[in-house]
Amino acid sequence: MHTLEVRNVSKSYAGHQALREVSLKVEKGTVFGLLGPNGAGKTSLIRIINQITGPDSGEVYFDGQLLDPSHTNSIGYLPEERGLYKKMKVGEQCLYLARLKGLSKAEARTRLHAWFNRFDIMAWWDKKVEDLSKGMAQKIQFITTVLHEPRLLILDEPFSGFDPINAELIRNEMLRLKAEGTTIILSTHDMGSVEELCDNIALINRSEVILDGAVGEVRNRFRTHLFELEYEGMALDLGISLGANFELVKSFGRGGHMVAHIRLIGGHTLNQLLSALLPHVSIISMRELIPGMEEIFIEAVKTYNAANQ
Amino acid sequence: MNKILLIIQREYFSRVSKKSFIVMTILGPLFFAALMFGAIAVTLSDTTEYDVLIVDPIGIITQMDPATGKLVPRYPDQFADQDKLRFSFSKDLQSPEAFKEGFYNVMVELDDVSISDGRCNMFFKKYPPTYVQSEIRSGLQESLERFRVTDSLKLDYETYKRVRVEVSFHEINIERLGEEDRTQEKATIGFGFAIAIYFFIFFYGVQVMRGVLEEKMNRIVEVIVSSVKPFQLMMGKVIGIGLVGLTQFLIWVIFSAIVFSVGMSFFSSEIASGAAVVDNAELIQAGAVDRAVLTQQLMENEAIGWLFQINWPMMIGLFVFFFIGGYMIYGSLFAAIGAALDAETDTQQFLLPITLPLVFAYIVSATMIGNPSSSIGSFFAVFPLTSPVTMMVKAIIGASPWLIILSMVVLVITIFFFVWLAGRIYRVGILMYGKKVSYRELWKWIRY
Repeated sequence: MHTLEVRNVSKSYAGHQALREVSLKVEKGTVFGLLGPNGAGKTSLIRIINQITGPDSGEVYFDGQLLDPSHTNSIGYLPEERGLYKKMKVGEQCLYLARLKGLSKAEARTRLHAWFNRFDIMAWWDKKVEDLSKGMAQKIQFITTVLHEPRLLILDEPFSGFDPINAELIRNEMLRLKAEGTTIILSTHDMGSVEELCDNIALINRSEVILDGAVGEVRNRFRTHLFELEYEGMALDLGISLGANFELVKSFGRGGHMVAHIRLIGGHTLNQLLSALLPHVSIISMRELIPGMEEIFIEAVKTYNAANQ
Repeated sequence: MNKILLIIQREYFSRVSKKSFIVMTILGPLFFAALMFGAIAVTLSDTTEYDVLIVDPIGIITQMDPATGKLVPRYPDQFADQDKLRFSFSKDLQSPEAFKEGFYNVMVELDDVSISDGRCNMFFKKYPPTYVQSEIRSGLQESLERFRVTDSLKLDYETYKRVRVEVSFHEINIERLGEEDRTQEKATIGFGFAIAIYFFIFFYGVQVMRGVLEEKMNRIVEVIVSSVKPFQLMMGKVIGIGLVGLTQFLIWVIFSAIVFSVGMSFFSSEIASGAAVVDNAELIQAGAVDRAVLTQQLMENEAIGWLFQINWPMMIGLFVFFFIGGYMIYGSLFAAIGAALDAETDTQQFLLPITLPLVFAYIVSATMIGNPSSSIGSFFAVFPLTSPVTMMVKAIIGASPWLIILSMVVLVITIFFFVWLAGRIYRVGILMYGKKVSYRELWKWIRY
């Protein structure tokens, strides 16, 4: 079941193509990472999903239905550039934003009280927004984004500007919402949180999806058969044992042990490497070095850009 | 639809509950009244005393009083001393130095030419106010006239006065026989309405612009437009702020009605006690007069009777309609400007083109006081960018119902066009940051 399906969406603004034939599927109850360099077209796509703008061609389906204005009440959106009315009181403002999402005043009040109590910020209710710190305002923004219990939550750089404690708070809320079945689209440049939170990703570069899939699967796709070996013994012995079948990429000492990065070449397997090593060095540990999302991001974008000069 | 109501509510109540609104609504008219009374008071309280020296070397208008040996006016009732204006006479012109150092503020010199062409030299230290000049002038005028009539024509002055005729008009519109027409005075009242609309459109239009700009600068706009359509947000804001303006107007109308009726009853007791100067003897004789009679009397009173010729309910109705219409056009344009910009400081280049028609309408309305029935006035009373202001003057001095209806229809059609146009610019502009916007850029947005 897909909460969101984008089919062949294109959009251009006065001579500039922002999205070209973009397709992606977001599975219900997962966290979907929407990645890409600045200006790649992420915000354009998010705005189309939020029906702030419409696509030039292609369709967007929400829960299997063609996206229509009634769906705005089922989507929660925290933009990267976000703000609040400075002169309004916190509680009043939350009520207003909630009612714009279709909640009744009474319902909005009940839910807000629950959230304010959970975040322990009930004391802010009658404060003016201009008196809040940036972190405080961001908490309020997060609450107003999720208050109407959207089926799809779109968070654009949700952690920026948060201290580690508040970032942790938001991260936990995200996981809780996910566990309750909320589908989340996370757009961020912070690859650490992508690895930690996302089930699937799509990488948009120059208006196109250049890479997508499950995070584990994508990382596997980019693996280079590179292994890290920790051992006791002489580096010279190691070199002898590797011969021409394995490539020694790097060798260094760490915490009293020797460490080597070794790549399998010519279709050789890890078992073959191990049997080659065993007679010469004593192995302490061995693990595969799977590239992080950061490296994959850079690699994929660079490769694409080089091929499409 | 429900959401646009929410937006209207927020825009309306957040403004109406502001201290500045309450203060301005209550103090505005008081301030205005104070300003007017102040201006009058300042004129009245001018304490400068004027000592005028009339120099008449050849004795055209002066003669020696044998009893006192002083020079006095030759003709009676001229150059009577007043509270702050005194006349003296001399045969000798003072030297500039003597005048500068001397006691007189103004010195008027008659010579032998004055008698033929009426020209006299007026020397002054500080430019004398109009009333002083007209006092001097009328004294000289009649004295010179008398001199010419009696000394040159050898006629009796009283006979001459009977010969003279002064022509004046009793203005009657052929459509409204039986009542004196006061087109010019009415045009002035209409101009007051025009100024009010001009001011309201500007004041509340700028509020729309600042509101839009605030939402854009705050970056809350993207959150809002993920819940409602940009067009709804724009219209909600324009309508909400417009309602604030109407509320203010309504409060002022009620205010004026109260002040007027209080004034009326005050006036009535004044009349009843015979203190007021009303050229209606029966009224004073009547002693106690009831209100209906009083109103009737007031309507027949020449000085203010014409006020009752004005169809006030129609004017207030038209004011509301044309305010709403004009405000919808300009309000949406102001919203579009707010959306197109990044900071309030660079509003100028876009403000000018929408300010111009409004200022132009104001100027046309002002000239219509001098020439109430010019056809150019009819044109601008229909042209939708000027009609909300100009129609106020046109309607009060008597526009045909057809002209008013035509103007209203044109206005309504134009509203749709400008709201549509502004909506196109608005929805692109509110999400556009850090871009210097040109007219060419705006044109692109409209065509998206």
